[in-house]
Order: sequence, then C-alpha cells, then structure tokens
Amino acid sequence: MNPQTVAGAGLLLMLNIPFIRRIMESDMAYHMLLQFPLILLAGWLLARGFPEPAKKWNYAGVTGLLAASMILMFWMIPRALDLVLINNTLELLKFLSLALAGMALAWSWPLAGMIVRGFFLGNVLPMMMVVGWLYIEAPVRLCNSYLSYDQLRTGSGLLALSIAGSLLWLYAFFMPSNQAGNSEIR
Amino acid sequence: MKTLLASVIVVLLGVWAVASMSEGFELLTSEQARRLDIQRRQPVVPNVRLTDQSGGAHRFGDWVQAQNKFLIVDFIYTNCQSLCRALGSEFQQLQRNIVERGLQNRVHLLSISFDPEHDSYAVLGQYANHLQANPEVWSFAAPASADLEILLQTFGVTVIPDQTGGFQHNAALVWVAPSGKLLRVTDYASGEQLLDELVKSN
Amino acid sequence: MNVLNRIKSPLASAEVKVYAAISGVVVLLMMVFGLVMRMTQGQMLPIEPGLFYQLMTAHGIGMVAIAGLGGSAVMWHFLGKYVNLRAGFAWANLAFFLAGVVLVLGGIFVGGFAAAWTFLYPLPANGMGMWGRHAAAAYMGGVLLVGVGMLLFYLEAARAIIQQYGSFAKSLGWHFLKSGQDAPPATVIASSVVTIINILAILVGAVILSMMLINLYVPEIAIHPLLAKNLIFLFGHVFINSTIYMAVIAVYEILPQYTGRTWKVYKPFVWAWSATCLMVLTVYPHHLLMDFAQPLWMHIMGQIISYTSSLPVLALTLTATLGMIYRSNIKWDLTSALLVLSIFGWSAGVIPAVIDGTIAVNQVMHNTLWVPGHFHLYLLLGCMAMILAFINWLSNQEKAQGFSALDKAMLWTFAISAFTYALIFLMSGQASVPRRMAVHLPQWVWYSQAASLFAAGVVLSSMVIVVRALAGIIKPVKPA
Repeated sequence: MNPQTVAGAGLLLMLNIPFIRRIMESDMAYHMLLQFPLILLAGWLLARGFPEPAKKWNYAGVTGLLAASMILMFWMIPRALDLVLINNTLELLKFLSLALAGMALAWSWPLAGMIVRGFFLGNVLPMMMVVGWLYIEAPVRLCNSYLSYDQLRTGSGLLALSIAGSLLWLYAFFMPSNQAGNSEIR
Repeated sequence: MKTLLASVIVVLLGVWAVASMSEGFELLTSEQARRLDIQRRQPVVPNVRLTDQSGGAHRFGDWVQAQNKFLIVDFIYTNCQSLCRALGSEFQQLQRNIVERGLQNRVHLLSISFDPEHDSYAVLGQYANHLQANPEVWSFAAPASADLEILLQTFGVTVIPDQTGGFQHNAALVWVAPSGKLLRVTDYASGEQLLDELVKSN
Repeated sequence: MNVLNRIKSPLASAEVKVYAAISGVVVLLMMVFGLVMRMTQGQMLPIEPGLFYQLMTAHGIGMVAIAGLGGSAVMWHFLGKYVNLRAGFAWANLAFFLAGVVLVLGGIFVGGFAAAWTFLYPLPANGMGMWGRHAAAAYMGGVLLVGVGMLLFYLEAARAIIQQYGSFAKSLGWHFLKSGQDAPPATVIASSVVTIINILAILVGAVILSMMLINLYVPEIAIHPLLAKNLIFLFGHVFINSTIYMAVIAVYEILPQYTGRTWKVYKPFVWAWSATCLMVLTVYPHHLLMDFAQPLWMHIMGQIISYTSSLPVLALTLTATLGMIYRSNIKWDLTSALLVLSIFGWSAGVIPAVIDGTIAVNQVMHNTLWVPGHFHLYLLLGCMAMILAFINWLSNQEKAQGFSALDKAMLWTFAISAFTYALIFLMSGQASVPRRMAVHLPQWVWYSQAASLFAAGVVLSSMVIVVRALAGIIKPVKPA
C-alpha cells in the first residue's frame, strides 16, 4: 500500500479519536482552521490509494474542483458548524465530505490549468473573505455553541488565510511559468 | 460533455445541500433556525416548577394560564456583565411603556434565570429591586436545577460557560400566548414593536 | 518584434463583431435614458421621481457594463493578434453578461430597485416600499453574474498572455526596462495591466456583493458601512477606469495604420503603465473625501494619487499621438478623427477630476453635478469615442475610408454636443446644483433644458454613426 495513503488513513482515524475530536471542536478556530484543513489533507493523501476517476468525467478537473468548492461552501454555513456538535450523522457526513473534497482536490488540481484553478480560487478566496468578515462583524454570535471571542478569532484567521492566498496567487502571475499549469493550460 | 453533466449534478447537489441547511436560503445560523422552528411549531411551555423572586413556587404552564396575559420572556443570570444588562434595560423600558399605555392587564414580563445554583429567590429579589422591577408587571423566576435542561430546550436557549466564569447565551425575547404556546422569538431590542402590534391587534 | 509577434491578423472574428454590435445598441439605449433624465430635470417630461431614480440606476450600471463590454471587444480583437485567445471564453463571458443584464434590468424595472448603480450599503436593503429585498437581490446577483463572466474573460486573457510571454513581469515589459531589448507591444502591456487590475477588482466586488446579499436576507449581520463603501468604490472605480485602458488599445493599433508610423514602446511608456497598475487600485479614495470617518492618510493618498494616476499614461499617449500625427499625412476619416478626438476628450476629462480630487474643492463640489461633468467628459468624449471609432473601423473592413459630408457632420455634432453637454454639467456643478436629484429648483431648470438639447445632439450623432456601422458589420464579407 502506498505510504501516503496509509498516512492519510491514519490521520483521518486520529482525528476521529473522541478525545482529539472533542478538543478540536471545543474551539471554533480549531474546528474551522485546524480540523477542516487536516481532514482535507487526509483526503488529499488518501486519494493516492484510490483509482483515479475517469478523466472524461473530470475534464480539466472542473467537476472535482467544483465539488470541493461546494463542500467548502457548505461547511462555512454557521448553522452547519453548530449542528455537527449535536448531530452525529451530520458529524460523520462532515468527515466524509471534507475528506472527499480533499481527494477531489488531489485528483483535479494537477489536471486543472490556469483558468480552472483561477476560477476555483476566485470562488473560494472571496468566500473565505466573506465568511471571515461575517464572523468579525456580526454583532451577535452566529454559532450558538461557540463564544463570541472564538468567532472573532476564527473570522480573523479566515480573513488572513484568504488574503495570504490571494497574494500568493497574484505573485504566481509574475513568476516565470514553467511549473505545472503551463504544460496543460486549459 | 460528461464533465458538464457531472458538474451540473455537483452544483445541483451543492445547492440542494445549502438550501436544506438554510431552510431554503432563509437563514444561516442556528439562532435563526431556532426562531423559525418555534414560530412554526408553537410548542407549549413545559409545566416545570419555578420559584419567583419572593419565594413563591409555581408550575410554569399553570401559572401562565392563571395569569391569562401575554408573556414576554427573556433568559438571564444575575452575575451577568454584558448581554443581560442590555436585556435588563430593555425590560425596564418595556415596563415603563406598559404602565404608560395601561397594558398591565394584558402583558407581563418574565425574566428566567438559567443559573439556579447561584440565583436563589433571595438573589433574584435583590436583582429585581436593583432594576426597580414593578412586581405587577415584571417577575423573576428560576427553575429547579433538574428542570433547567427541558426548559432551555423548549425555548431553544444555548448556554455555554466562558473564560471569565460567566456564561454566553443567545439573547432574545420570547413571546408566549396566554394559552401557554410559544408564538415567536425576536431580537432583544424589539419589545416596543411587539407592544405596538399587540395594541393594533384589537 | 512588433510585427513578428503577430500570430494572425484576419478581420474581426464573430465574437468581436457581436460584442461591438451589442455595445453599439445598448449605448444608444442608455444615452436615451440619459436624455430622458435631463429632460425630466428640465421639466420637459412628466416622469415621476421614482421612475427617474430607476432610470438613473439603469443608466449608471448600463453604461459601466457596456463600456466594459465595448472595451473588452477592443482588447480581445487586438490582443488576439499577439496571443492565442480561445473564442469559447468570449462567448461564455457574453452568456453570463446577458444573464446578468436580465437580472439587473428585472431588479430595476420590475422590482423597482433604484439605489443608484453604486448600490451603496445599506440603501439596497432599505427600499422603503419602493423595492423589496428580492429586487435588490436580483440587481446585485445580476452584477455578480456579469462579474463571473468577466472573471472568465480575464483569466483566459491572463492564460494566453502568460503562455506567450512567460509571465506578467515579461508582458509588462520589466525586462525591457533593464535590457532595452524585446519590448512587448503596447497592446500586450495595456492588456496585462487591465487583466491584473480587473481580476482584483472583480474579486473585491464579489466579496462585497456576497456580503450585501447575505445582509439582505440576514439583516442581523450588519456590515461596516465605511468598509463597504471602500470596497464598492475599489471595485467600481477600477472597473470603470479600466474600460478606457482597454479602449485606448484602439488608438495604439488603429492610428498607426493611418499614419504609416509604428507605435514604438519606450521605457517611460513601460514605466507609466506599470505605475498605473498600482495607482488605479489606490486612487478611488478621492470619491470618499467627504467621509469624515475615513482615515486621514487615505484622504491624502486619494488626493495625491488622483493628481498623478491618469497622468503618466495619458501624457505619454497624448504626446505620442501628437507625434504620430504631426506631419504624417494622416488619412482623415471618421475612425481616425474619432480616435484623435478621444485622446483630447480623455485629456480634458482629467482636468476636472484633478480639481475634484483636491480635498478643499471636493468638500463643496463632490455632491454636485461637477462629478458627472468630469466622468462624462472622459467617458463620453474619451472612452465612447474610442469605442465608436472601433465599431466604425470594423464596419469599414478595418481600412481607411472616405470622409463623407455626413461623416463630418456627425463627427462635429458629436464632438460639440458631447463637449458642451459635459461643460453644462461642470457649470451646474459650479452653481452648486446637486447630483442624483430628480427635481431641480426653478433657477436650475435652464441648465437641464440646455443640456437636453446637447444630449439630443449626442444621441442623434451616435445613432447615425452606430446604425451605419452596424449595417457594415452585419453585412456579409464579400470574398476577396
């Protein structure tokens, strides 16, 4: 078995240990900014162990990146974040869907050219900015299960992440483009 | 072409998921969901035991029906430094307003503590005095600790301890009909508007 | 390099023709809206204020969008001669554009949305019975859709430029500053700048539009109004500025064919465009000088940058244009005359902008018709003249044509009407006539009546130019 797949499966299992899960979900910032990316990473690593889906269903990675951005969008709804804490089915769905998003990213990112990647980033980065801003600005707590201070930190984190992502993306435009993306421009 | 088909399916699935989570794009937060849920279901207040600020014990449901008034309920704890203070001054204004308009026989204010361990009837009495609550218009009460859970659940109130030894909770006004049904939940600053509607409704 | 780089130079492709034709028709419609507004203010038409503000909203967003589409046509056509653009993206952009327009128009004329094209927070959420939140949502959703299409368009432009030149650093000509070798063509430099700033502007626009859409349906989530205004102006101002930076490509590409001289790229030209790239993004605060809560440094930045931002590119384009025409035996026809006119219109439009960008003046002038005077000068006489020239050029099979008496008459009618029309705005501004008002005081009415006369002249001359050009564009090309 591919060592990456093992690492991915291990990471996913580790995140599911009740003790670790409870710690990560006790704080909104850990929940969104640590657990989510880790599940995505686990999915990314796991993807190597699965046969890649047929390319004709995923031309230029469009389907996969679309699916990933949809899943990310869904989990940015404050109500969803609240509900997973009291609803086990939804919690399971969260792990499955985020891992799936990670796998979709692993399969689709290398297929995608500048435009599909740009469109994905052009979707996800503003979305994170909006949600981050929302968390910072909201006069009320958006998640009943989390403290307002947590919400503020999470919002700032999301905002910082999306701004950093945007700058990185902009920077890439100015770099000589012999890396991936040039060869398979779509 | 297949990619297009798959993409359309993915988008539709995504829209469906978001739509169901947001009750058809009507809400984003669980607080809104709770309000909508109460408005739709109109649950009846649980018949739990409440102790008021003068030590009198009541059954909540029976008490509402005996009063035969509309109730505006909020949830507080007396050690509160932030939100409940806003709620307190909002209720003070409402009290003044109710008296001025002569609505004492139709509307009653009730502040329920979710910290019964600390908020004994004596503490509540002091708190009521401090806020200059007029017992004709504004009552305070705390449930028995064992009944707290069911009470909070019916009213959809989430209470979580914060780092400073207090609590954070969702602040809102709950509007209860004389029959004991929960009618709706509104922002904590919306009391005036509710009174206007009540006056207009007959 | 300039010539070698040309991959292909056939006549305009179908998508460029469709873009140009749609731009021509919609511009006329929007001009009529403008005329109706001025006549209403001049008490010559019995239009209700409610409808006036709807027309004002439609005129604003319609002109911005169509200047964007017309500019895109110019950029797509000429950039396509140097890099490999794929038509599918132009069509996709157009599809999103039209879908967005349907939503926007529905929001305005069916839903009654009339919060001006700048949709400043929190006005869209407070229709006060004039419009509901669905109307506001349709409008903002429509603008968002147009943005999505434009994002695809610019991503394709970015992809094509980078594939051809390696990176934006190269296509902006930074290597040329060092080595003096291998300058990219002016078209590629301008296109790169527009691509960068508009991708950024569209993303900022997406953020504020999504945020306001959420706020519409979840009013408890309030937005910081000043931040919202900053983001809206960052998005809107960059977008409208970039229309002229796209349209000016027509000057770079078409004028040399009339004078027989090439448009050479010099180092200052490269410098100017790269500087513009930054300045366009930071100049918008001159629209917020009246917001006292804005940090002081942003006011100062707004004032300084508004002095400098349009100057480098404009000054170089102006002098290069003069140099190109001077003793060149330029062939005059409608196209070349409109192009030269556009450069003067652009230059003239900058003067009132610089005056308005001065804090002391802005305090008293910004909410008067002075500001519409400034942007009508540079958009109508600058950007629109370039787009009209481009449409005319397409219809003439991209060749110089004779300069008929009718052409001359229309050119002069357009030039004089447009100039006087903008001048009346400026005079009204000087007389403290407020902007965005359906009803004017009696002593202001004559301004609007005079303006209506010249607006009619603009509409008439543009209509003749556009209709004749459309006939030429639609006509099937005869086999050579």
